[in-house]
Amino acid sequence: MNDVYVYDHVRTPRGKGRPDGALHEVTPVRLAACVLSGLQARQAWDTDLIDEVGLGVVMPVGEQGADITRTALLEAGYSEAIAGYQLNRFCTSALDTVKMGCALIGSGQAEAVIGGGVESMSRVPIGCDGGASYTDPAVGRRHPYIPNGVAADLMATRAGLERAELDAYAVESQRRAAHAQAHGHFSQSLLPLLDLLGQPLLQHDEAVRPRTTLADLARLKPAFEALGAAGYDDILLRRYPELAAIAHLHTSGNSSAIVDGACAVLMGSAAFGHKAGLRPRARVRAVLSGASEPLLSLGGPMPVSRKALQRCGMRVADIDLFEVNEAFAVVPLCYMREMGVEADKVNVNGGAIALGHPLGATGAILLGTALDELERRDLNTALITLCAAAGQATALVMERV
Amino acid sequence: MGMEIQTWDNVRLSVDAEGVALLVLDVAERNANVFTAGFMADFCAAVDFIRARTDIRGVIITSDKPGCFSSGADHADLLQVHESGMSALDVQAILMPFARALRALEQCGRPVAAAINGDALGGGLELSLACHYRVLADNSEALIGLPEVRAGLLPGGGGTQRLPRLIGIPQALPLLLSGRCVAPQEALSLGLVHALKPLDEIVRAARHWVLANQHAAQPWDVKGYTVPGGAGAMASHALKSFGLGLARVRMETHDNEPAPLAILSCVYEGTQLPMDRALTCEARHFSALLTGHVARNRLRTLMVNAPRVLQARREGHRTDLDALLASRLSKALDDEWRAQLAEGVPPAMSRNAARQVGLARLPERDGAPAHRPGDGNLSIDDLRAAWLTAAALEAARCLEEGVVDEPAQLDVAAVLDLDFPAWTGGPLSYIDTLGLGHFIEQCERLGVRLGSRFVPSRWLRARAVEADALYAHSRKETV
Repeated sequence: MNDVYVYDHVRTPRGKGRPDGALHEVTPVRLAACVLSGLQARQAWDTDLIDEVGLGVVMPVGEQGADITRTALLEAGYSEAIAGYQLNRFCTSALDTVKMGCALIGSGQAEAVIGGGVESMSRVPIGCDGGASYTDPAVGRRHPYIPNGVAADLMATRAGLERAELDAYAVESQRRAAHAQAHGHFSQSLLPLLDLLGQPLLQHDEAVRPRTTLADLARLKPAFEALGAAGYDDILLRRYPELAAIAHLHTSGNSSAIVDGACAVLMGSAAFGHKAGLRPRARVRAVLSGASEPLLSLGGPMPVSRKALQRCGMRVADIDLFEVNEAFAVVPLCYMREMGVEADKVNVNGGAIALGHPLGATGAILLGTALDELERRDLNTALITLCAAAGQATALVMERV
Repeated sequence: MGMEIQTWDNVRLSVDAEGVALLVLDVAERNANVFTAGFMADFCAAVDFIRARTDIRGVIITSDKPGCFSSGADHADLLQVHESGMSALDVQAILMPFARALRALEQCGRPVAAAINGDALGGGLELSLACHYRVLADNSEALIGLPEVRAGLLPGGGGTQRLPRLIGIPQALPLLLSGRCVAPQEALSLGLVHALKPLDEIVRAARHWVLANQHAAQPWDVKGYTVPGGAGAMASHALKSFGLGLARVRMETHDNEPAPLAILSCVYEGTQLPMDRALTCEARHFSALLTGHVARNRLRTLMVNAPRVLQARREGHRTDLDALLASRLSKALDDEWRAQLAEGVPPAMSRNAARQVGLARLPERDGAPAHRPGDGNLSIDDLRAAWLTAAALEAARCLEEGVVDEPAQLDVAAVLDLDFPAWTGGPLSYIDTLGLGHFIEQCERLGVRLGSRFVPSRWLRARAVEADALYAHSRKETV
């Protein structure tokens, strides 16, 4: 296997994923083209050196459909010779494009690959793709799609977590994100989005609420109680009959924020670095995917992280920083508890609860955030993992070079 | 006015001077127009006749039974089909000619109107849905609807296909899934019928419409037709109709009832297909349901035997007996709750198992006996079986002791008075659903895992040697 290096990454700021969000007027093609052209412009390499480009898109329909990556490449002014593909494995999609890049480079089929993702959740709403698991009754009666918030509440119920613990985690995510934002920890990789006249539409992550308090969060109503009562609780209790009920603990305040955004990561072999005159920033040690019980939906990161560490012969203690996607507060909380990781190593600059989770892009954003932070703190190793619907997960281990 | 009359045993057809045919439904030797085999054959023959006679300019279908247009299939007949041991493929083969006749009628190239003089239920409504126009008598207490789900079935005469194509999936599904029947005014506002008229004007109104609409076709046979509100996974209502809709059905039925699940699939799949293929899809689902146990249990206990029992109660009989049966079964379930707790079954497991088999009322008591650590090998499947078996064994004791003469008495009382899960048809039908031999094996297994209360009596074992069912007539014999 050839070594696979991460050379660079950029991302858009994350805009609130609703009609008054700053990026609502920006089409997903423009979001994707912006990070692709921005990535190239930073070090001005020849786009003909790129062999493959993949973007994660969780709702690949409407204006995010029809292989948005190829369109975005052309819009970004890349060479016409470069093919692009879209990929969907729910929330791990962007990290999976990185994994695909690693496979191509590692096996010698490519020298340089771009991975990443794009999601305009304000324009192409979640759930609008009509998947069989949530529409075909013949599928749903055996393998139902459990709304992730309800699954998160199941996970918290099984772990015996209380609302206050989830809220405390969320407050800390906001505090860390606001601190990172204020101290410019994100700025080296953020590309401002400009309007037609060159004026910035958004220069920072818009969803952060720095002054959020426990008391604020305590006032929020459970977000998934009604869905649970509509039938999903009952379906879950059939699989977990030892529970008396599902405790609905997640709210809009301790769940990831809905946002618009995009990200791109440049990977390549050592030879590519020489050719393009770029210095590698990190080496990918392991990246793999797996799945766990589908109704629990969010339990994948732990087994998949263990497998990834085993693959590269590392232990939990060898990892300096973790990025565990904050789909819901319960995910990193259970992760820390089960994996035995200290809170000061996990999501040190906040996570999706504060900054937002543009579904198809988040995996690559987390990789970039972890890499920038390793460099800032002069640490060496990071593990990035996300859960994806129906029990799936991807984990990546990297090391600075 | 008839210048020409063609008569079959169960329908008759007259053609007037202007070429309008009046097809009168009048099933022989029945008070209502029910779908007997003879009726279905005659109706098919009448449709053939109409198709062959190109001089017929239009058709009006009405009924001679006061207050009844047609009430569809007879429940006793359906039960008999089940008990005849017919395979699902056989049922489909019986069903399809009638479905094809309705399809031929709506594609005959002449306008067809239904003059609905009273109840149009199940197959009766389905027959009228194959007409291009429906005028309903407004001065009646008529009921209009597709109640098949209550019998553990689905509308197998095109109802799951024509209703959503007519009024849209979000409007049709609640009617199909609940079996709710509506009065004329609501039938009009839902779009089930086109007009309400006084009873003595419906045929005239239908005739007027037929003469004024010589190029009638069903909306779904017109090029460019789409299901109102859309169909399939990308329809804007798909998540609500089929995602949340399925979750609700599963919550309400705990997957014990195959009919609502089949209705959801039939509507989801069929509305994305051309009508002819959709009707075949529906017939397959119907045939699978009718040959299944839940339809048998619901038909026998709720549709055929319960009316008999209720009639007896109205006449003042049996009240004491029914109260005794309910109290014995109720006590058996209370005892089971206490026994499970005493054995260390976690209360949540016990409750979830009871809910999952459909015992909605039980167990609710608190103040449970202090429980000791339980047997970790007990599965939720064992507990589900334990709940039903506890009731079934007490029911069998009632039969053994001669408290009841026949299983139906007890099953009806259990379902009506105790909300015993209808999908089982009652505790004795539950035994027959497993088969007496399998039931006794299950008792023995539970006896080992949960306690001697599940050991079957010698009488019950002896019955198992004689037959595999407690009901006298079960599959292969007729009622």
